[in-house]
Amino acid sequence: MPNENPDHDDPQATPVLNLDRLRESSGHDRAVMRELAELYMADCGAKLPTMVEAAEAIELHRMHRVAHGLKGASAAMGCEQAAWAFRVVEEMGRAGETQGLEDAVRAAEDAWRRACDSLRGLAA
Amino acid sequence: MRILIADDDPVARRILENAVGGLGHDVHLAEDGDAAWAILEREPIDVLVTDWVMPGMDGLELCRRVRAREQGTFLYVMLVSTRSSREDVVAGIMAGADDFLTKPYDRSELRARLHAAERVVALERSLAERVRELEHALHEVATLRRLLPICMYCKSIRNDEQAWDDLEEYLRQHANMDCTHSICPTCYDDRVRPVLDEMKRDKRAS
Repeated sequence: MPNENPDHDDPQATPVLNLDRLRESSGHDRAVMRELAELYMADCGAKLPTMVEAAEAIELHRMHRVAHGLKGASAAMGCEQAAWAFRVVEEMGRAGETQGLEDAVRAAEDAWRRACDSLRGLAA
Repeated sequence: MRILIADDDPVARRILENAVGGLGHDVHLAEDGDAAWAILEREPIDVLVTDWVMPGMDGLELCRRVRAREQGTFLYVMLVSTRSSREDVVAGIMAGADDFLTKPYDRSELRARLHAAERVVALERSLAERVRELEHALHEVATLRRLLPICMYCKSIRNDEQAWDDLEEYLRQHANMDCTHSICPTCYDDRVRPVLDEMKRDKRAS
């Protein structure tokens, strides 16, 4: 789970995928795990462009809300780097912070892609 | 129990559905607060497990609406959120939540909390049933008190053991009233005066 204060945390120290968390969320059922992975990739994949668009348009409230949802889903799936990165974007939106926003959004997209790669690896 | 899950995130909703359904509960799903409220208006739900941040009506507003309902049976509300600060927990409980669970959570923790919820729901149900029974009994007592079985001749009253008490005894037992004794003018003329007249006659004759 991301640290309460992401500014003082090291995103690289957190795992891309915490398999224990994913197993816990799926009730240690491989079929459910695969279903959740597909659901996560489809739903977050659809929401991610909204967050990016909101960030580009400096619609920080909308960006904050979408990032909050992406953070929660990522944390539940054990995608800890992605959860951490979405939390940074969420906090910037909440605080009205725009400096470094582009980098934060890009980092979140990258973390999400890495999470998806790991999840696809599980399904294979 | 009948458990309603309200969460706009399909991943979180599916995880909860799987975990709660796996415990043998009857699961209902809502995609946001408004949909949850609509279900609560028409379905008998025991436990509401709701996310905090949702489009439209959020989890806090949903809690407030549930608690503002005057009629209906008790609903146990568990707020589930990635928010976890002390202020968040206080705000959730103050809005009407009975419990607060921080995401992500372990299934064992969810199971334990639902177990506690089941205990509270059972207690609330039992209490509501006792209140209904008491209200019914009070109504019956009030009805019986209004209908006194009284002898049309001697005015004795039939008590709960089917024996006959005189009116004075009945009032003492049921209305906590003692009587002072006097004679009304009619009874004086009908009962006392003849006795006095007879005593006078006897005295004269002797």
